[in-house]
Amino acid sequence: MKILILGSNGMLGPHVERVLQEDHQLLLTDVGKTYDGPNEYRQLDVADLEGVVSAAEGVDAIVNLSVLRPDRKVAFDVNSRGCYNMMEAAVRHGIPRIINTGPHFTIAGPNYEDFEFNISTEIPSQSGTGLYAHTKSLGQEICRVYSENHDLHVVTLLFYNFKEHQDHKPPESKIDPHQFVPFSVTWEDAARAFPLALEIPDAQLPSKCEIFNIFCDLPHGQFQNEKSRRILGWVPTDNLDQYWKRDSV
Amino acid sequence: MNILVTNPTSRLSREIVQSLTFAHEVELAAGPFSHGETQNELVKDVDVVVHSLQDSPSIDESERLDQAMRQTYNLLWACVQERVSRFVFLSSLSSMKAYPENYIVNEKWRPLPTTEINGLCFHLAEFVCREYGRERSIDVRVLRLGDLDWDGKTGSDSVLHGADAVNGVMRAIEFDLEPGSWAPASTWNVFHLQSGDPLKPSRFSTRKAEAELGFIPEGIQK
Repeated sequence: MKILILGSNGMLGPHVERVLQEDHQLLLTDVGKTYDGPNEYRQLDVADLEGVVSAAEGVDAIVNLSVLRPDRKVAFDVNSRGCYNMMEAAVRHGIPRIINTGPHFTIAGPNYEDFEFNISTEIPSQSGTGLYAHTKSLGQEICRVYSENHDLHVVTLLFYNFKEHQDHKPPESKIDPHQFVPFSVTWEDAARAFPLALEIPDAQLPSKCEIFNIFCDLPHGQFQNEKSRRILGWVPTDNLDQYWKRDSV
Repeated sequence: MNILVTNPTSRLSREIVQSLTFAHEVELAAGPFSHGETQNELVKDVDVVVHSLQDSPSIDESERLDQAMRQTYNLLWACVQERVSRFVFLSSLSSMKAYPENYIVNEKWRPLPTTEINGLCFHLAEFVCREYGRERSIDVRVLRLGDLDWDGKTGSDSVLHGADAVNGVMRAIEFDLEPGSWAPASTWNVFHLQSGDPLKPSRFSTRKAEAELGFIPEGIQK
């Protein structure tokens, strides 16, 4: 499969590249000029519609890792219009599978997170008006509308907090359980969701636009990741218990 | 009241301003709406903002999307900061037209937008408005307008005569909504507006606008 990755130079990009490059041909793109690696790379601003359409020619799937948080103009350009550009490119080239990504509050904003537990992905989106959440939520809504009107499938993977694998865990003195986010995952486990999202047959997806929470198995009960295991077959390998469990008891 | 109306190139905006000037202080403002201090200055001491999207063939899709999402967000952000009490967004019934024509579609039905750029932009601007309304920091009212007709020549089944459109917008600006029996009035409201036809029922129900805003469509001039 030839896969276009948007925003490949971000924090998650190299991990995704690592799990996909053996079995797939990758075209990596990012707004940054430089890339030091074995795959094909093109400088591309996801806010450039024609640029995205051009990069998507001849690919079988698009993975969107692009994200920008603090600047209001660029946040809308990248997080919202970037999704429009990606979906337009998919329609124009007949690309059947899109993997979108975002933070958990793309759908579960403060109205959920501050009040609720057992939060699944089967909820109406309520991002709130915070810039990052809201712009990503608009992007997701664009993906949803395109999936309802065109012959393609969108799989959205939601993340929140990333941790190093247990082999690289920080010293105990630096672990504060009160700062631990109950929607955390290692970079490696997060990346392993991507091949599954790309390769799952259309018929095994309940709808043309499906959202999955990607975090490790945690006892907190605030969010659910059961659907990711059941439908994608994603099984996290590290439960990060050094962040929420006492050894001495 | 002090009222700010956006989109001066639109005939509807200009007609709204003309109708409002008898009783209110009105300003007509053109975008683009940024997020700097000048934006806050624009809505300072304003009571109601009436916002619509500029529609011109010269505007490309990227600019349309920017206007619908970022600029609507910026305007609402400034309104909340400056304590503007009401925000009226002029949307479209286009997102409801995918339902079969014999369905009586009201505001309780889920929008079914297509990827046609104008309809998508209305839908996305509503999406922005909804999150502000949900946070209850401003009273947001979305008016989904039928196909505007200024000369009685439109053959659409969801026509909205120009005078009815102006009347509906005026009602949305001026009317306070009644609270429910156990809750305050919602800060998020959608109203469908189309003109009645004496020969057949409206495709889209306008009962909510009639009951809550006192909207009385005069009908298409035959």
